[in-house]
Amino acid sequence: MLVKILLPDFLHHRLAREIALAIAIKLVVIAALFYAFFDGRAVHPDADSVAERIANPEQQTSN
Amino acid sequence: MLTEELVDLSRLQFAVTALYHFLFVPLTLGLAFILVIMELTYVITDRPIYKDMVRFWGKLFGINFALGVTTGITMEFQFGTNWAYYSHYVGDIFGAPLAIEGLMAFFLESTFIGLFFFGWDRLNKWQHFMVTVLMAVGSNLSALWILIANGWMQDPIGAEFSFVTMRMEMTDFWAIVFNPTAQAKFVHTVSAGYVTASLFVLGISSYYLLKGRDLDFARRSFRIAAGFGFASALSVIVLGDESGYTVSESQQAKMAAIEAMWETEPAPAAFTVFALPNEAAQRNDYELQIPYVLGLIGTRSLTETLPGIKEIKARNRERIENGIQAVVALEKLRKNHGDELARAQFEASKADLGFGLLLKKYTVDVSQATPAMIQQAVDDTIPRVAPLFWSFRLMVALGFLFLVLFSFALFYSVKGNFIEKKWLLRWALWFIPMPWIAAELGWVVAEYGRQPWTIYGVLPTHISVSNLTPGNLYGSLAGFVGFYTALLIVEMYLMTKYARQGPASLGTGKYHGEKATGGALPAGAAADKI
Repeated sequence: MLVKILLPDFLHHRLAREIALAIAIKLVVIAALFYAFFDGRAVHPDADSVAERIANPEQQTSN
Repeated sequence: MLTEELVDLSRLQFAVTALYHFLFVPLTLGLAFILVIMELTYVITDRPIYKDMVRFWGKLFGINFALGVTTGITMEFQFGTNWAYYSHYVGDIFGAPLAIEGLMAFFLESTFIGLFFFGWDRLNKWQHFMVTVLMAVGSNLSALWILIANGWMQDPIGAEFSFVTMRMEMTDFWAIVFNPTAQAKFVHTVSAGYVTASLFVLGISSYYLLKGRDLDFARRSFRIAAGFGFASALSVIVLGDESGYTVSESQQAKMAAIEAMWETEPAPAAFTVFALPNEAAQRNDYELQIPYVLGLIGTRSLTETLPGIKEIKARNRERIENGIQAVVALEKLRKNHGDELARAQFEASKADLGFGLLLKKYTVDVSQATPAMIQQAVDDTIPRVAPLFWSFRLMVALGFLFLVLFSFALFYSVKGNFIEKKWLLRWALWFIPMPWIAAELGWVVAEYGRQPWTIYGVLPTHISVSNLTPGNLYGSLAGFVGFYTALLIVEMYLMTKYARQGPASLGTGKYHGEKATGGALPAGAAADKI
């Protein structure tokens, strides 16, 4: 009851609480996926590295 | 060179996230406009039942929006990591509509969605109606910018390759915005969303009618869905035809694959209703055709021909051979930007640069490509026929079934006896998932049919991906599948729960299963007398 009183008005509805919980969990999971698999792994090719991939007949490997 | 596994995994991950994301999108696009119709009826008639309809269907809209919002952001993660070369090569063009979409989504759509839910007691009814209109327009404008970006991937106009920056640079922003391919895709896609939402409302209303509860509420919802759905189903077919016409102009390989058309037929070509495409032998083992129809749809003339796969391959072979000159000239220009001879050679052949790059899958030095490698690259230019052929036909068949369903629904709505047509109500109820299936098939046709390109005719898919480790991609793919599946389960749970509760979930005391409050009518009898 106390928790319910402390909640903002719109969270007094059951559906609003369920949606708020779903959004909160979703944001946490998206953040977790981002930090687990994407953060710091973005590659930033410049003109030279793109040229290395597509316009170099002796190309080795590139990121 | 990159491994096939890496390219396939990157593609699979993007496809999975895009397909999951689009499970949420069409209902948002369509339900917003159904809410506009219901609320307009409310502000004009001042009958509380229409306000209840807006609030109840708005509640289901809210569940879908809350679960769906940000599901597209994972695709943006992938641009930077999995598709870094794509992002560099076309980021100048592709990034602009994506950024505008982000602004639309956050500042227009989300703002007005907030006002829609929390503004009932703060705004008068006309003000609230305008909020609903702006929410609908905002969500559809978001789709417009995404489809402008996607349309450019299918038909890259208004841009030019620079050998200095090694990227496509925008030459005409308005050509990209008003790209006929993008515009046709936009109206076709949003119409599909309207059909999805109409069938959603029609089906759930049918459920109440079959159960004999909330009859007045369900009858009015059914009628609105039937009218809007009929117009939308008609639009989705007409605009789908327009979208197909743009494909026949700008993506002839895709069109030929969709139609399993191996040979160029005399105009006007026949439409193949059924066939068993045999890719190895480059023919159909069995086919059932309707004369003239494809030629009329694809060219809108009796005299223009549509090229078959074999003719397209012959043309593409020439383009690949010309593309080799472009790649060689580019290599020289990268070593010496002032090499005038190389520049002239590049200018003469740069339209086919992308075709030359197809050979990079088989050799790092395209000038040394063997006839076998060239043949492989030629074969690559045609997407696999059978998946496209069947996906397209299933989508079209569903589209026509929607039109038939909505025609019956509208006809009996006008006659006023749809409640007696139990078969129609059951059909509407069990058909609720079908528009989603049709929409996903549409995306399969659009995107699988674009292969082997990320940017049609410009940038091959295998050049576009980053050189990640397969382990990383498997991990993130599993994470995404788990994440989206969980979201989908929560969505289905909440939707089913609140759809079953029906308008009683509003707590007005007037609907099925509620205890009567204040001046409200008794439960059970109430709904029919509002």
